[in-house]
Amino acid sequence: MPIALSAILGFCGVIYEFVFAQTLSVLFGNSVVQYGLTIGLFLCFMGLGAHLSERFQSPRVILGRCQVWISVMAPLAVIGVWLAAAFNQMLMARLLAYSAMITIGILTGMELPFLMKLKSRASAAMILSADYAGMLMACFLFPLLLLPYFGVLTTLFSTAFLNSLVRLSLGRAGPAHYLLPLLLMTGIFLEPGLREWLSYRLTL
Amino acid sequence: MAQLSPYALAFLLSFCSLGYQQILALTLSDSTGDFVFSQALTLGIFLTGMGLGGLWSDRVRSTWTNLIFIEWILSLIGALSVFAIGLFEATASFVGWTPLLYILAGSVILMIGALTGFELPLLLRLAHRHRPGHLFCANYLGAFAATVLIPAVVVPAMDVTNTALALGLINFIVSCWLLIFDRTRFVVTLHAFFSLALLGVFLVGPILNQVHLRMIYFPAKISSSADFTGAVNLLRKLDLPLRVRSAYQWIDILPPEFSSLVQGRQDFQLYLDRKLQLSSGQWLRYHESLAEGAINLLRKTPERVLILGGGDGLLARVLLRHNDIRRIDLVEIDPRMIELGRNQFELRKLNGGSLSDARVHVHIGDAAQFVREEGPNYELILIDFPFPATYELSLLYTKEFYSWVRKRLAADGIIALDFPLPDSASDPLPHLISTLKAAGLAKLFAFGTEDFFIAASTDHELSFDYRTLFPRVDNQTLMNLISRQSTLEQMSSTPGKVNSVLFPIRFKDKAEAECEPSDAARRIRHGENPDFLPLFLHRFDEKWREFDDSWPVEVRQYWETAIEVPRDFTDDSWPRFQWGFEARSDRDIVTPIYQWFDRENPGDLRRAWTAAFHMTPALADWFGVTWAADLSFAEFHRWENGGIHVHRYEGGREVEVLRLHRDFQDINRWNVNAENLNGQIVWRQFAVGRIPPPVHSSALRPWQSRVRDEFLIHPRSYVKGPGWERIFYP
Repeated sequence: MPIALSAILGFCGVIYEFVFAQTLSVLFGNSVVQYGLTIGLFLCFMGLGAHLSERFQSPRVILGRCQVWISVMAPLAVIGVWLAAAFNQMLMARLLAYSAMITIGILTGMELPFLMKLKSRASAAMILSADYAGMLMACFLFPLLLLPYFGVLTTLFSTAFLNSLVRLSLGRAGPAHYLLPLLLMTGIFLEPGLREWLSYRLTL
Repeated sequence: MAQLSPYALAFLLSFCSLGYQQILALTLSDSTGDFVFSQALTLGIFLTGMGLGGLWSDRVRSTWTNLIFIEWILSLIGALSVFAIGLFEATASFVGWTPLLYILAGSVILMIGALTGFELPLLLRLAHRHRPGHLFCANYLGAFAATVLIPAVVVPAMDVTNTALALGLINFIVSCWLLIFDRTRFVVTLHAFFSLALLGVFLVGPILNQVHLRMIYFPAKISSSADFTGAVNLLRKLDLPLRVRSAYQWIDILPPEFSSLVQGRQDFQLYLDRKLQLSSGQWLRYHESLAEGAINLLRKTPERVLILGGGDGLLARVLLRHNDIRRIDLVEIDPRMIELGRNQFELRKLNGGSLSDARVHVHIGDAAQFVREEGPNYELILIDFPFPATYELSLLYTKEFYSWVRKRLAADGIIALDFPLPDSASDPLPHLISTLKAAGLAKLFAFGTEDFFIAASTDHELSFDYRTLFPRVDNQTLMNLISRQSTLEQMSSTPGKVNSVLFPIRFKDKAEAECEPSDAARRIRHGENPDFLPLFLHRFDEKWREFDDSWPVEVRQYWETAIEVPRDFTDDSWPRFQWGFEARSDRDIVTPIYQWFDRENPGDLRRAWTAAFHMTPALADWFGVTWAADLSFAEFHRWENGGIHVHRYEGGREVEVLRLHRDFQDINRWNVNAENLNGQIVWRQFAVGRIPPPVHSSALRPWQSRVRDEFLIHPRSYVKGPGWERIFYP
């Protein structure tokens, strides 16, 4: 179980990275710098997250909270960045993008230590390698499959959906936790309209 | 200092490792042509390697000696990695199996990742008196610094190969530093040996790199040992292409001497990310077609023009010929490109110093950001970007981008952009058409046979006014400026996807035909009897289909008969046909065109002749460069020995035969005289500067390329060599 979760979470983390990098290169130009900056920021704050994770007890609960936060924040933040840009608040978009990247980076960094602390038969090495496998998967899938066939927003919603499912799988889920994947699913269905509207607003 | 050292160590180690990852991503993107994919691939493999290394480090005793060993290996592999990828690419292309490149490059990246993943836990355990959290922090800061600084600052400043060597040197210095922890004789001796090995890498690496750089543009096909020695000899003779890695792209400049050896013709060529961007033989056709074609479609000379891309300054040069253009804004993202356009010898010669002109305002920045901002409107916006084979370029072909461009367009303004010529229905053109239409650019006009362009306006229909076009442009351009509306309509019938920033398309790249040396050119240079006539006929047929109703019926009839002629072609009849064409041409080509113009503009003899003049040598270009070499030679003789005969018709009856010839007053002032058969001059055209027949670089020798300028060539400055192909005709 933690092995599968670890692969999924590694996958999700990298996808968020790329979604942010793509968003930033569209809105602020200069893909090379934006990709470098995003990856660097994420790595940096993943480290900080791993460091902070030492302070928390009860890994299962905190991991669950992390999942909820990520699956709520990531779509909201990315859409917020697009919205801010669409209403020409570029400074706001920049601030929002970087702060969201930092927060998500920290939360993603906390996941792995918590997973390792979950009581299971899987060794730390197995969990780590599953995490890396997930990352590798994301690195291949994002440019080859997700971006050309699903677009930025669908990819984002589906990834957040995965995160919310991870929360459900951790057990002790309340009604809100069941509502979250449904909401994200709705997001996937509403995505074409949202995309059209954002694009319209952006070029107004 | 002693307190600080483990943190500095952690910082430097992760800086170097992520630095290797970044430059390997760049190098791989050079080989694969896709930055995002290479970045994702190397990052994924690097992370995997880190994971494996971390697992492995648990089983190894943590000593400083181990860390020193790691540093050595890392320094060697890292410094060699960039050159190794070049070598892998050559191997993969030699074997003919592309995945080999990914496997080999991937294993190098995996190794670097593994060593990186190995060293961090080791360092944590060795520096156990320091807080692990702080060490982690230094480590991540190093990673952050590398990902931000290496691609954006370090690589543009000191190039990829030097960056790899510098990072290797940092690793080496770290290993020297670590010697203070382990000064046993064994380790120090090994260290000395290792230093020699690294020195070897520093010496061999750049040589490997140079060989690789030459081999990119000289794809040797080796099937025997003789081929191999021949290839090695040629590689030795070749000049090194000038290679610049800017923050955005690989800029390669091939000197004319390079292409004359490899491709069989003298040509200065500039490649961006290994895709041919301009060549001295074709730049005029391409840039004149775009600029003059768009101005002609606009039906007036614009006052303000915006050029997006085009850092080579060639579009600006063509536009600067119009004195009515007050201001040209040029937006280019890559400062290195502007720098090359201003300072590189060959490039500056081509663009005539246009980037330093007072009317040209150069803005360095992202084109999408530039058009998005508020600013003055432009009557004409020319877009000259590379083909959107990657996601970052695809952003400049989106609905949003074109909407922003449209907002910067004056009321009756137009935009014009280039796109690859469509070959088949699977080409990306339908996507572009849908995208342009979705951006509110409803009226599209496509033109160009060799170079394909699309012009777009918001509401009014576009079409060429050939009468104002003829006197302005070069012959090659003229032949290129043919409506392709039928192609466009055919392509619009299959609905394409709309490219949007939130849902980008990666356009499929077509095979690059331009890079390949023409087989026909090679044969004709070696004096073989060319058997490419079927090819020529194919071209003929292909072009023929492009004619539409705007072409005179006489010209079309001429082509119809001309296609008949070579059908019974045999080897014996080849030379006759070659020269037979020349004998037929003055009457059969000039006359119908003349007639057509005479009918369109009765009494305007001058315009008719101008048209006929422009068309005649231009017809040579239908056959491509190799044929043009023959025909311009033929042209030459015709001019020198008796001139061109023009048969003037009125009402279907020949009323006059005139002989046209040039007489030169000065190096660049000359008359075209028209004599009747009694030797009486009935018309004289005084001309300054440009000589209508095209300059064919195929016939130029290296020393002549220096005087090859559009305006200052004495027509008698030809050089006779051993064969006809040596004759230089300006």
